[in-house]
Amino acid sequence: MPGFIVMEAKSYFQTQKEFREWRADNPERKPGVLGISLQSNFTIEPLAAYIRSAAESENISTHFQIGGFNQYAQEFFEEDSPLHQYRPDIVFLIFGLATGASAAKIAGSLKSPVEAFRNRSGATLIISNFIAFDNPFRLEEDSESDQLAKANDDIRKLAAQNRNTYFFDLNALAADFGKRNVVNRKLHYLANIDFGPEFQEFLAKKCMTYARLMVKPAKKVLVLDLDDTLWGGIVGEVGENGISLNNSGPGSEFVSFQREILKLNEKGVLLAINSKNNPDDAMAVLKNHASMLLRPEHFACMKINWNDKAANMREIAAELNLGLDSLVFLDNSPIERGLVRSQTPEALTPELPDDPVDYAPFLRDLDVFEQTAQTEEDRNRAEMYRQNAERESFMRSAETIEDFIKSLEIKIAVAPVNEKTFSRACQLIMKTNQFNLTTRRHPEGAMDSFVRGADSEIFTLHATDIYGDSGITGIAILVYEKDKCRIDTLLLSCRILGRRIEDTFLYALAAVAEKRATKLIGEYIRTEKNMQIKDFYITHGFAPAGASGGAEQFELSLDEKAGGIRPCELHSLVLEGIAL
Amino acid sequence: MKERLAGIFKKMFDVDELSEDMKLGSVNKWNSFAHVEMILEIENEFGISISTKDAVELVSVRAILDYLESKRG
Repeated sequence: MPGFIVMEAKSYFQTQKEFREWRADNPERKPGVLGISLQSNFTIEPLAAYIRSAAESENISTHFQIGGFNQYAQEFFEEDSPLHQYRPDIVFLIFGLATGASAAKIAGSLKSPVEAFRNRSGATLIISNFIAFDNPFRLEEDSESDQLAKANDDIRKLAAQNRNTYFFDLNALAADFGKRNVVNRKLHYLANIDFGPEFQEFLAKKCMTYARLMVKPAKKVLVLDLDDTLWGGIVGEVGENGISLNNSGPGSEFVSFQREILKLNEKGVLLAINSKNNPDDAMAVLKNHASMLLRPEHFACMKINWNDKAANMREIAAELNLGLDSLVFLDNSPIERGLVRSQTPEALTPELPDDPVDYAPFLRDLDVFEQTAQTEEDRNRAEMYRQNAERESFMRSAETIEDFIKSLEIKIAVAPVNEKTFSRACQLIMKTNQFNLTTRRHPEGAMDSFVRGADSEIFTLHATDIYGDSGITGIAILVYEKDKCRIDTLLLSCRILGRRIEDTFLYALAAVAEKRATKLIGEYIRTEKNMQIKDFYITHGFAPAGASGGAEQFELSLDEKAGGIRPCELHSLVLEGIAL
Repeated sequence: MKERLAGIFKKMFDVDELSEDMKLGSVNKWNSFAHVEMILEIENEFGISISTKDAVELVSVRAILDYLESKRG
């Protein structure tokens, strides 16, 4: 669980002792465990204990490689350094206390180690800035402060210039925590541990926000109650003018909360309503109340009725074509939260603070909607879901499904992944559940290896139709093994399902594979979400070929051109940048 | 007081019987690295704040007990 769960208070020694014992018992990194490397210019080891605790509370297994005191440059540069031998999934470079001059020096000499790291590793790299302890009385030039501010700015730019490298605003985090409480003097002066236990715990939870993204897809929908959640009072009882919702004074805490919700919506998070209300009462507020920031058009789905809220959650998920585990539900009523939590445990239903003034800061800290790379598709997703709704109402009026698909005039482009589409490809790998034949969550580093490898390729599928551009909505990874071409991954975003686009995608992949292979091997790994495609390869003319490494395999001979792979006449297909 | 300190020494350094003669370095796991953790643990246990200057000097059980006694005042 993210930061809103209060962790059991454990002493610093106890936390460290348990971690040391656990580390001694688990020297080897097991497969499927998130490998985290911590690098720093101070003694960073104690932070690992807190990161592990935070990860454990979310059932994420971790393993650590911890760089020596101020060894990060060597670790980054040297090809066979402990860091590179470890092959981490994610690396945190966290800077401790520094004067402006030394911060400037460190930031100034960071470019080449970071570039060396990028050449040697596909791991996600997170680089912090420096915490500024500024004197508020700046009556004179303060070159120390200016140097530190410039160092922080340089680090931010450096991260932006490097792929899969992210800036971590430690300075802002420390300000949020309270800079006065960041340092424990004894740990700092006696043990070179720059941060006190409390700040380490706080920092660890934020580190988890990045680490979580390596293993769990981000949440996509924020489902909201109305009465006493978006505004104060029960509109059905007090009427539109009686609710507490104001631009200033009492009631403005709800406006602040709505502002935070709107910010998430602008970042691509979908909004939905799940409220027990008379639709007319609630809509009157949504449409007309002068202080409402959220209006009906902000919501991708509205369930304002007297049904039970868990049933509404299921309907919201179904209508948006998403799994329940993409949903976060906020409701002021502990009873409703309890019901939704027990009936639809896949959805995240956090405890909302008792006092509405705490709603906005609570949502700012929730951190479950974060994405490592925000893509163009995210920003347009809300719009695309609306287009989908239009398509569906159109589907009901069309005569047959084939007529419908043809009438959409779908154009499909399949192309090798490139610089522009790579982050979207990684994102789809992490979050696609339903039409995902193997659901292999390859981290960015592994994806990078597929691109670089001579015997593997990643392809993207881009679909457009008369209603608009769905963007990159399909990914396939082909791996060549002698005369065989194995489809390691084949997935389509749920946004474009039901239009036979998978037929055309598979045809395109077979056409590509034919150049180098005589057999195409399809794989299926069953999950709770992908049962509906278990016969995908069989229905496309593949023959069962046993199992390998937990995957059912299917085989299709490419020589004979036998079987069911033919271009689907319902779409037009373009192969971009692929010579046949 | 001595009993509570003995509890810390038991869980941190596996010391069964606390003796006033014990010193940093003379007890197996009581090294300079563990010392800081012990100081924080004592702060926690007794609800006090120990200055960095004092922490450097509290390197024997006798010194720690004297210090705790003086704080009890």
